[in-house]
Amino acid sequence: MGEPTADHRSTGGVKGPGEGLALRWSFARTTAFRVTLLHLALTLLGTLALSAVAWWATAGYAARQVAQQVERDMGVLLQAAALSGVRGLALSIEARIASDRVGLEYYLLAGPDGARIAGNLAEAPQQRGWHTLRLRQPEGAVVPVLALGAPLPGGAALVVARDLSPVEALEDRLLGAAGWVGGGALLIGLAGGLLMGSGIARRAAAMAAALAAVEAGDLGRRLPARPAGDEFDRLAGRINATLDRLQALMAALRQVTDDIAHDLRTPLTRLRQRLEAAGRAATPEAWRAEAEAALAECDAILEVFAALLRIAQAESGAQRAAFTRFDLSAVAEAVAEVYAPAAEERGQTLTATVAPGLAGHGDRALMTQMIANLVENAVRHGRPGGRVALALAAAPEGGAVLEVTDDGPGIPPEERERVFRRFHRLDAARSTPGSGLGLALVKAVADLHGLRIGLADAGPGLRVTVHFPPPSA
Amino acid sequence: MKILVVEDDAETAAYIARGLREAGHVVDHAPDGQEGLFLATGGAYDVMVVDRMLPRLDGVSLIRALRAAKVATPALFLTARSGVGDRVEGLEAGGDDYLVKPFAFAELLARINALARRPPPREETTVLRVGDLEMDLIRRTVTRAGRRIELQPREFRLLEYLMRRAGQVVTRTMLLEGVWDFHFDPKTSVVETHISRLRAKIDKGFEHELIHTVRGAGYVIRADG
Repeated sequence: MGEPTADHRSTGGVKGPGEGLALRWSFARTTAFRVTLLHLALTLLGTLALSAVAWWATAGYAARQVAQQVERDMGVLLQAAALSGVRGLALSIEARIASDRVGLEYYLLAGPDGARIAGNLAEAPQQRGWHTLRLRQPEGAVVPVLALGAPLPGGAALVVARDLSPVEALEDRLLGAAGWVGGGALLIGLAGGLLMGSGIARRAAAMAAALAAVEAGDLGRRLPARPAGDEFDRLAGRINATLDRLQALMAALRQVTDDIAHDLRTPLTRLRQRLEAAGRAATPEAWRAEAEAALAECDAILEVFAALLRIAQAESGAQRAAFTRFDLSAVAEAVAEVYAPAAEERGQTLTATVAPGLAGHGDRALMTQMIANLVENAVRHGRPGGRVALALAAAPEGGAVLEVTDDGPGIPPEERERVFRRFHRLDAARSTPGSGLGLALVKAVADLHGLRIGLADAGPGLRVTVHFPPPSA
Repeated sequence: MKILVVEDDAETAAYIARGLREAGHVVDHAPDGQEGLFLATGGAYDVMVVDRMLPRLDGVSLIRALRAAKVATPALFLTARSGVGDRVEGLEAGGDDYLVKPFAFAELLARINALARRPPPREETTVLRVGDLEMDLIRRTVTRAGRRIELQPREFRLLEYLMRRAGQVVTRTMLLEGVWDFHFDPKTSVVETHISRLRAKIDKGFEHELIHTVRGAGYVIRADG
């Protein structure tokens, strides 16, 4: 009947069977529940072990004492039998019974026919070895005894027994005490487990609530964490650090979006004006001229997009999987070669001092563009008729060092950090063409490859230094 | 030329087809990858223009399938993505060239012409000739009308690229990619300055110009007019 009743309870009630089961299972899966259960089990196990030791040390000890007394008595009596025969033995037994005022000792001396010769035991169920007997007293009480039987020469048998009532009374008291202790342990275990479990549950719930708030859009919300706390606080601290980084990234993204919107507004406005002008054009030639100008504006906008996409690509780090070893010296030479005529056009001399055979590791196309952007920057911002120098040499500590130097106005020290931002342009450079994305790409590519960039005063001019780590074979 | 255009966007496809027909080519159009594969294996096309992202069978898989079936028709990929990895993947699949959307039609036309006239593998030529201009690839010398012209190595490579494609329009980006392995567009007009320097040595003082500028497209080296 137990089974169906239990079944009825689990399936009955307001909830559907599946729902009730799922609820119970979801609670059973919580850490709080498991901690409670574990704590309870450990407390009970501890109490049980303690009780067992106490049992062995008290009730067990008393029982062993009784057995020893029985054994000792048996020894003494057997010795008496050997000295003075069955008759003498019967006398000593009678004497012992007479001197036992408390009435704890029982003896039986039986003849070969099993008839009692002496003693106060009514019968002897077994005449050899250890037995526990229950003696029915004339008053109706039942007395437990520990009996030891031994054969005597000539077919007689001796049984020595002791009352176990004091031992059993002790055992009863111990059992009672163990029951109280066990019950107490159960309560303490349950209470302690629930306390610890609910503590964990409460802190987990607080963390979940804070994360839910972040998810809902409150990006500034942080998890509760005490400084130098426990592992929960350390976990919360780490999550908070992640959230900080996330918030910073979101802010950066918003900044970039704003920048893009702002910086594209100007060329888009110009494009619109060109198209309007084309619509009003009186002659086919004028129309063609406006259309071409509109195309040029379009290309400029697309160029900004391409640059932004490249920066985003480099920053995402997705390229790392496709990194290869390549000839860095050849790339530097190709860049110098490409820009040499453009520099000459401005009356500048572009000198390239490239140590041969230096290897780079990474995305060759992005590295090429990085070096090209640096040289382009130097040519554009360098003094017309001045010098632009590109140098690539082996670094003393391994790897390579690239230096691009111009003799233009340079960059004031306080501006040096900012020039790597997207769309950042020095006031002096606002009048020259350029998207303000060249150095942002340089920075993104350098970060992608773990390169160190330094800006220094070339007195006059700017010197950009890029440290390439030794390519890992 | 007979050209197959595999492009799912109807407007882009119509724009390409119209332009190519105006340039005197015959154009077939497939709106998805499977149709494209069907047409490409059946008809003898000189060049294929294949969009990377196509319904039913993407462009890269289409070209892989064609190459596996030993169809060697030169193919140019069109793509909206400009990642370097995408370009490499496209070329490794068996594509011959790669053009990022949006593009100038002149750029597409120049690249299609270059693909179609790509010289078949044959014994290496040692001398290139355009009119009275002669380039000796072994001795690395250039003469015009028998007169020796001294060129810097970078000028020599640029001229070689043009002469190997004599009569074809070569765009700025084709030069950047082909001569210097630059897969981006520098803001400075580097190609123009290179060409003008080369012109100063090749054409200056001669009656006929060999290097011509094609408005809105690029450059071409040719002997006549």
